[in-house]
Amino acid sequence: MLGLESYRLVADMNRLLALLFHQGVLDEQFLQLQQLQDESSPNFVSEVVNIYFNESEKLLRNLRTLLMDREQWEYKRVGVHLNQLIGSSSSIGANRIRNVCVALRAASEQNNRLGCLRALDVLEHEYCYLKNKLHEFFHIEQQRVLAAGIRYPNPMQQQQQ
Amino acid sequence: MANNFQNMSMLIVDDEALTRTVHEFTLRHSGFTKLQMAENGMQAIQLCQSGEHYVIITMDFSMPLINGVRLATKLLREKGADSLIVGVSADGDPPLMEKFIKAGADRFYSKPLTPEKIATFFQNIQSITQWKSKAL
Repeated sequence: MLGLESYRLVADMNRLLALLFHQGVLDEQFLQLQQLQDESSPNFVSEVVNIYFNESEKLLRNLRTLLMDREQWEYKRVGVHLNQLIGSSSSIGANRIRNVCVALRAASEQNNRLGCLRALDVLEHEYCYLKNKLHEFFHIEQQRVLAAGIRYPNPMQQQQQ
Repeated sequence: MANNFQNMSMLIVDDEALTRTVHEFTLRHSGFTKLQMAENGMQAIQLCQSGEHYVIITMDFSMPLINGVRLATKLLREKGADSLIVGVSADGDPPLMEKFIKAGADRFYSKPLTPEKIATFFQNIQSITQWKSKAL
């Protein structure tokens, strides 16, 4: 018999996800990832999201470096990094990040350096928000798995003994 | 999805590890078992030249060394590959789709590939293969 704790944690996870969907932070692709998770790959979503965080942090650092360089405007390299970030964000359902990347790319194509820097600030903020929320989500999921592993004694079985 | 499609060998060409992982899982979840990955166009060409035959090749547009459109052209026109080509990009914009189709791609999808897009593609695959065999 599962404890109430497990149900409470599931409710917390659902509430957090609902919030992120409502805010447009995540889209349906995140649900698709969850559907790919099964017994043979029980940590698929968290593993994919960790790959995303590792890759994205490198890309964001590179973008900051490229855009802070006043001497040389390497808009092509900015475009390359942004295309990667757009693709990976689409793959995990990071909808708001994807949209900000599209706006940043438009500013880059217009050689609007100030617009790019502003958009990059927003992008970094969105990334931090998503990372914090998904870490919270996976932390609750870990607690749920642990709670579900605790089996409460069945009162009927205890009476028979 | 028809069982005779699930033994088809597929090659997924994308320079992003995350996209390769998600596409691989999506396709395996849809029942496909013969999947190979390539990190760039040159690897894809080498795999095709090594004697491997892929019924379907999906390729991202934005890749280093050789982009997806040029890869499609190389494989179909220069190497004579008869694989079904699916162009993929983070951008779903029509000009890019047109470039892929002109290069000989059979379909184009914006990322990511989802089970629904895969199902749609395979619902139409019979008409694509019939058209291709007549064209050849």
